Amino acid sequence: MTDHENELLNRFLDGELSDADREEFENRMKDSSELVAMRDDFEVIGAMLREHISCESEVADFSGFTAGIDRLIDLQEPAPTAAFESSVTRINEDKTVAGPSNLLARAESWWRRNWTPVMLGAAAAAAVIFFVVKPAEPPTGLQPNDEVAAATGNNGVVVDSISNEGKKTVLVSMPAQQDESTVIWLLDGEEDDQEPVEGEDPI
Amino acid sequence: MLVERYQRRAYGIAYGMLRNREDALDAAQDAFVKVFRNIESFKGDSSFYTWFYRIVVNVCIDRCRKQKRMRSVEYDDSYKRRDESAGVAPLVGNTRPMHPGAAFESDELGKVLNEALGKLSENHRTILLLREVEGMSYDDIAESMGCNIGTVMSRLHHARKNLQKTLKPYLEASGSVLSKRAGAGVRKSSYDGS
Amino acid sequence: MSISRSIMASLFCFVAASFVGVVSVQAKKPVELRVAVVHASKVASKTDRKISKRMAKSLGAVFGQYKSFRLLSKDVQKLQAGKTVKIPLPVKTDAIIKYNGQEKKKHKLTLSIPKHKVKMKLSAPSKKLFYQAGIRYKKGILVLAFYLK
Repeated sequence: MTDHENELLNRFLDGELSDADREEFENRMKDSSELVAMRDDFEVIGAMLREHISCESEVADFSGFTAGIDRLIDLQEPAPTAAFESSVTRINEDKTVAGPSNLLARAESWWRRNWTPVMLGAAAAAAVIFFVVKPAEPPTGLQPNDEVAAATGNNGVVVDSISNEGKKTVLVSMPAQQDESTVIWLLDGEEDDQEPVEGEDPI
Repeated sequence: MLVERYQRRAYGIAYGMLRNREDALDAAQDAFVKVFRNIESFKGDSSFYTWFYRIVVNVCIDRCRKQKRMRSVEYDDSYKRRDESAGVAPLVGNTRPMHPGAAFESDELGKVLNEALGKLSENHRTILLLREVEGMSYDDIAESMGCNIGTVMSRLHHARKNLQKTLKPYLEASGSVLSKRAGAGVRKSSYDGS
Repeated sequence: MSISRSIMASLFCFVAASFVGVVSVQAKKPVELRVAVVHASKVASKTDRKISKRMAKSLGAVFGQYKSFRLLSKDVQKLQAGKTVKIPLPVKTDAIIKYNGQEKKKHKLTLSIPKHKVKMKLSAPSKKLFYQAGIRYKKGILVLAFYLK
């Protein structure tokens, strides 16, 4: 058998022949019993393989499969980074409050004497801030809470839930770096793998 | 949901590659872990399932190579016993008589096929499984394997030829039985009018 | 209690009430949603100048295997909580976005594509570009880019 016949044979079995090539192959088969025999053998081998793998897949026990994947993912979780650890330490230090007891007593006594002007001033300041001045833009630099959020990957878009009743596969790609973007993929299942839809162009 | 959708297919490929149930389950799980860990590297330039199968195939090939290395370092009787329990026939001396019917009960078929698959190279085995079992097109196989279509066709032909050679006694012995079984399972091509 | 202290207390209560009022007004402040529908194509051509530099850079990084990007449509809407907007897509379907208000600095959205029976609930921060992608279109895919502020 020639290389061309081998190629035609395999393409024929795999449905990859054009109409013209298929006609050529069928004509060749009329004159070659060897080609016919090989076609039959290859078809049988393919069927045997499919049946064998299909049977194996049916009997396989997947009861702990997903749990096994979760365990493997948990085992491979990276240890907290140094940056994350230091940011947690900084937050804990910020929260620490210390002061001598006599300072508190002095503050209390001062408040009793001066609460009126303090309240008046605070009220005026609040009125000015909330009725006249727009709230300031959040600072561009990271605050301690933002650093924790960034380190834990919670600064980007989060998908809270997905309802998928169609044939598409939904994949969410979360950014590894802060300046990257979340992508929610809607992908064809293999059953839907077909040519793109030609639709009207709005522009 | 992704796992449920693809677990059997991943297992099927892994089993065909590794011919051992436990190894196949482990490899399929490893593949899913890799998918979750590397999802941001998926750029949408291929369909998801060809990207997914590439990961499954690579995990299986790595395992095959590791097993080969272990085998070459030490020969162990327990290895042979493990293979037998998983349904792989011993590599030496199958003296059972072959005749239609008895030769093709499903476990016998499984053992024979596993042995035949084991004699193929990893690349030939992979391409054959992706084509015959998963029904992937030449384009998708080329994408999953990272090779060109010419290579796919060449390897596919060699894989089929090699299997034909190994399975010849069974094909000849069972003639009409095989044809009937083949008729039940032959993948219809898109041009097949019958 | 002296009169001055009463006046002070009243003033303080007035300010506190105003503060609460302002905060609640802030919560009901509409969010600006910007949506761009982009065609990412495997056919090489010049990237559309109508796409901003920032988005072009981001598209190139995220969808690196696509050779060119063309802006098909852009929509800017101000959404109050509970409001829905439909973005028509050139594949005979719409993308529907519902704004569900704000919670702890994140905007709550529901994004659905009825043709494919997919519905997603998202929490998105302000001024952060994110995408929905993958619907096949003309030798490429559609990319929906979202931006809230």
